[in-house]
Amino acid sequence: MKKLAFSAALVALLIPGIASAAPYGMAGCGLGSLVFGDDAGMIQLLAGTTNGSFGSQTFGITSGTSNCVEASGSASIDQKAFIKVNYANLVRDAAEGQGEYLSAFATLLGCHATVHADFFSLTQTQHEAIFTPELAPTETLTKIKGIMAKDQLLASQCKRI
Amino acid sequence: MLPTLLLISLGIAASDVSRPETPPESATSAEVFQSEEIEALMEAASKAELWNAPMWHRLVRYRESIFGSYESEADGAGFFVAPNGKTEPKAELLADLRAMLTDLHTDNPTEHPQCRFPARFRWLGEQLGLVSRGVPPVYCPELVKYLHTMRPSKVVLVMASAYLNAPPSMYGHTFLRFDHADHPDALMLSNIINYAANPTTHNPILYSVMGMFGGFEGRFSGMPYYVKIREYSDGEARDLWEYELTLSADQVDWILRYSWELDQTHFDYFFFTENCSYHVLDLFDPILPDLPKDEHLWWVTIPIETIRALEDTPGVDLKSTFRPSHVRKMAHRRNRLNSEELDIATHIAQGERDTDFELLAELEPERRALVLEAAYDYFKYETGFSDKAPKKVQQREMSILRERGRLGIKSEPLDIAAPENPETGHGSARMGLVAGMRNDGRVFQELWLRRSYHDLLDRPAGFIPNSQLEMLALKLRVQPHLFTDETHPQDAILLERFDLMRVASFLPMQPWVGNLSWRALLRYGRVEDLGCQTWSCTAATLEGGPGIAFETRLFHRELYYSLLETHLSAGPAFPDNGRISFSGSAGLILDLGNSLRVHGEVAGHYDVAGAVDNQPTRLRVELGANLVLSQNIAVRLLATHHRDTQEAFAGLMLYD
Repeated sequence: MKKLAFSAALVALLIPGIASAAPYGMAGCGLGSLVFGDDAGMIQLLAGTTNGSFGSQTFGITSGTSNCVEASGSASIDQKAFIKVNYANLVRDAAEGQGEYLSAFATLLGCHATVHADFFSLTQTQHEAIFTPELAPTETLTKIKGIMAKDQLLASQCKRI
Repeated sequence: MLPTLLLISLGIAASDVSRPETPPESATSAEVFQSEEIEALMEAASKAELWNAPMWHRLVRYRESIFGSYESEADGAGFFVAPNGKTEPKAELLADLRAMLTDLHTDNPTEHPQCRFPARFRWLGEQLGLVSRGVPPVYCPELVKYLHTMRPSKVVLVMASAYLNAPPSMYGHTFLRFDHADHPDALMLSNIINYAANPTTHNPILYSVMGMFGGFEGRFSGMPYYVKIREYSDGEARDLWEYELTLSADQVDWILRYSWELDQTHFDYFFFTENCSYHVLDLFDPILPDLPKDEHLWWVTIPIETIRALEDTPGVDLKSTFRPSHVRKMAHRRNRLNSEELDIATHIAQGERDTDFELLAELEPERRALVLEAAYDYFKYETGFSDKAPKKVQQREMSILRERGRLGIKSEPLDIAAPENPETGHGSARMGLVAGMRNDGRVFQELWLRRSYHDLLDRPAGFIPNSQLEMLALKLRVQPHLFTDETHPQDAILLERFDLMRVASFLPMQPWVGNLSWRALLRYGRVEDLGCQTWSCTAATLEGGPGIAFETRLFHRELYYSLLETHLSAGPAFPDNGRISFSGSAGLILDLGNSLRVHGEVAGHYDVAGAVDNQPTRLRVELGANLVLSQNIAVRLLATHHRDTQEAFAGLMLYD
């Protein structure tokens, strides 16, 4: 994430006031297709995050709402979107045995708060087995749910696996 | 409480709708509603002149011109029912009301005005007693789903801190977060509403011009909070400040309904005025009529001023939480390591072989965990947060995390001290009343006026450390001895300088975070080193360049920097009408306690073209001090030497 700030300075010199790059904000989907929570929806996913003053994601995302998907009422889409966007942070939290991403993920899996600690233990002790570079994040999601289904406590206390 | 409120106000709870003379047949309430009743309601609205109500103007975003005409800020046709709705509040109100009362058993409720404009419908309903008059509601499935899904227990205004390396982000950004009643602690999963421009070009010049002057459409959009965390906290190393507002369920209902209406339209995006932070405040218009926009958002909308406007609104309480950026977390984890451990972490983050992990063997397991956590942060800092990293990078990432996972040690949540809250910083605008003296003994006064934002001597709390961002900064010099002068009285009041923009970012070199520093300026003003004090002694200057900086804490805090800059000037001041020079400078910013900051800089200039008096080299020395008296008052002292001229200043700085 090293910024070559001078390139920004160069453009700033050329254009008084404003130069380009890095987002005003993401061109997201309208509020009708944002339906998260019990009713799930898919959002326009990030193509990638900023990696330099000029490598902004604004340029990586199509403007407008063409990629937005209507809510479909499926909880699994919620989970898929989350693991896709936050995969690395999730793997990191699992390695450390706790974290905000892991906790949110447990919530998305419908796990009761009392078994969050057990979920954290499971993902840490089976870290190597669960998170392999060959699998795409959504495939890892399926794998995790499969492992949870076999665990009696988690299977009973997590409603959305 | 909230769902019931929504259901009642949507009139879905049929038992709450009391209708006089319900016919005994199985006719639906929609068919029973007669056209006479519609006319009666239209007449009631006309009699009350509802189109003049302040709330109506707020909802449809009308602004009154000095001629008494109206124009709505909204630029999309979808925001209006009447064809001339954008400029005619009365026509719009009557058209809305009529349309809301007709076609009540439509097959397409999504398009029905009751469903498109739920805030207007709620307001009209309250003004005219629509429920008690038996007006049947249209069931709006998407709206109900939206309200049900948002179901917030908390509303939080989030500000991403300023980011100097990307000009559109230099002042920060704000958006609104809704923490869900079902899982109020899983903040990641909160939904946010954001306002942003939809750029249609990648060309830097077009992007800048169109972004400043309304060339792009701005729209509201929604997404989960974790998307923004990834964008700002990870991708851009920006801290997030989360301001919780205490709002009633009724107020939240208004915000949600109004957000649905605003989603119908777009607004032309103006970077300085109608920007992200400006339109986020739209959502509060139905419930906070006393929000002091005029006091805080004059001429321009600066994100921190929107926070101050909310703070100053009667009845509003803000409770802030700090969410550190990835870089801040990385620095925290790095600082926990001793120098040996730091070496191992660096090796692991930069290496590619599994044998690198053998270096951990000599450490205790708890220390190994800390080293791996820091190494991972540094690895991500270097390789970025893109989804499309090369295979080798992905595999290395997994290797580091796998090693950490194997340890089986649970980490502690990080406890990172928050910097001072941004809203405790000095005001965004500054006025200076300054007295000065030159080396020839002449005294003068100066008036300094700066619309925004912060310089290297201003009290630093609440701002990006070691940063300077000034836009529209004017210095006028008054030379009283010239008022009675016959030869050039016009120079009695002189444009000393007008800075369109002046930016500096000094990032001290530290392990793992080795950024370039830089400075840039666009100015029209008097050329100091020429020693003349007239309007013809002025020129336009574009200058800037890169540098490096270091920080120590010998006394309180010291920052050392060095810059190499290029200067391009053009104007009547020069015999050759212009000058090009290079300079190398070294400076020191010294904090002596919390109230006194001293800044000194020495620069050597070499004029490669347009040198004056055949003297291509010149020396500039500046020494300044700022003594803080309060949040918005300071005393500034300055002494300058440039070629043969010396000047000294003392002034009072007042911020707003």
